Amino acid sequence: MRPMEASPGFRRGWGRQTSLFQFRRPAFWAYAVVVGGTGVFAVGAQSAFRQISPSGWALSWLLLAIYALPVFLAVYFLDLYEREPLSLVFGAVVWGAVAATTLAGIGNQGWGLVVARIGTPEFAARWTAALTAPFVEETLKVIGLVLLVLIATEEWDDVMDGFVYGAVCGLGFAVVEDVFYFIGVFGGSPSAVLAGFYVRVVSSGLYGHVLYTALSGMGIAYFVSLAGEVPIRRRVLVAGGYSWPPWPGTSSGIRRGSTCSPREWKDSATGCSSRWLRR
Amino acid sequence: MKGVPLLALTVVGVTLARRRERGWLESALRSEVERGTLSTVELGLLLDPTARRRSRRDVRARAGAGAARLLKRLQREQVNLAMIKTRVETEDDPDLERHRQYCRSLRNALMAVPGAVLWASSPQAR
Repeated sequence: MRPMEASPGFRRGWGRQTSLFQFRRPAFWAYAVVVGGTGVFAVGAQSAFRQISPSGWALSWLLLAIYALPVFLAVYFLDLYEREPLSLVFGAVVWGAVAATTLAGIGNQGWGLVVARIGTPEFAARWTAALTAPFVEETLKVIGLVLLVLIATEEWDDVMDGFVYGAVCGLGFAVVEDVFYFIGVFGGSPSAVLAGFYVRVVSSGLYGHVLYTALSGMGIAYFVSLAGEVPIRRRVLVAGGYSWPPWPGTSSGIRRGSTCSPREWKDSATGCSSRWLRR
Repeated sequence: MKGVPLLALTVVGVTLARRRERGWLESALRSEVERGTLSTVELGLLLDPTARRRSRRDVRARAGAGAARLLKRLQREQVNLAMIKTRVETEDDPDLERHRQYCRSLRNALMAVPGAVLWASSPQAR
């Protein structure tokens, strides 16, 4: 028995593969309970959208599949050597699509009330989405990534892994959020869905959520995978540097806030009226 | 436009991560080159995704689609060999030894295709 040659740079455990289904880990059950619970709401919401406009709903999913599939494949295949287990990759997608979107809806609404209490209703109508939504959404997506770390710590052995999980989690979030906007804000008719697709996907910059969460994922992966190699202070700094994406979200929200009238904000549950979005 | 700085940061992060992974792959397979499980040329191809795709195109042109498929499989298994190496404790682990044999058999099968032999001795392959 010859021990493995420890050539410089040799990464022990790099090729280890773990699945999402770690029944002995509490984090798996936390993940399952949250996804199961929010899944009921998410299915209810999609069923309501389908009843409002069956053709618009189907078109929304078709357009978003065309938008999401290439980026999913690109992200997955960018990881050249140690591809992530599909159960974990789909686990990240499901968290972003089901748990993070549903909880973000509740969270954004709650924070809206808080801001209204602290400031004036007019101030809340103009600024709530800008001040709180990015933090609520990014935090919820990051919680999903942290759960995946706790479920399969040994899978997070490189920054690239964080990129993959983060990007697909953000992609799941973006797709479901866009379906909500197309039906709930733009009106849901096929022409409104096409207008929504143009405004929210084509002209507002492709893959915003994908990039934000990919960066957060890279930060988490840096922090986790280099434990024992890099001092904790540096890991915190670099991970924090990667995970600043809520700020661009906030700044875009501030721009959005400063160009909307309070009435426009009141027009929709999310604070972005179709009138403003169509500008 | 607001996404450009984020995209740039992501590209930098991914490039650095891939460079790091390339280093890990190289260190895992360097001793396999010394053992003769794979050649320096093959290792070079594994480390460069563009060269890897080009090598398959060359083989397809010289020896046909079957040989290109075989080369793709060989390259995938060579990467898997590196992954197994990072998982096992000893150099003569049965799993590792089995995979070495498998890689050798794939390479022998590829070399049995006339065009592929020509490709292996061509400057592109070097």
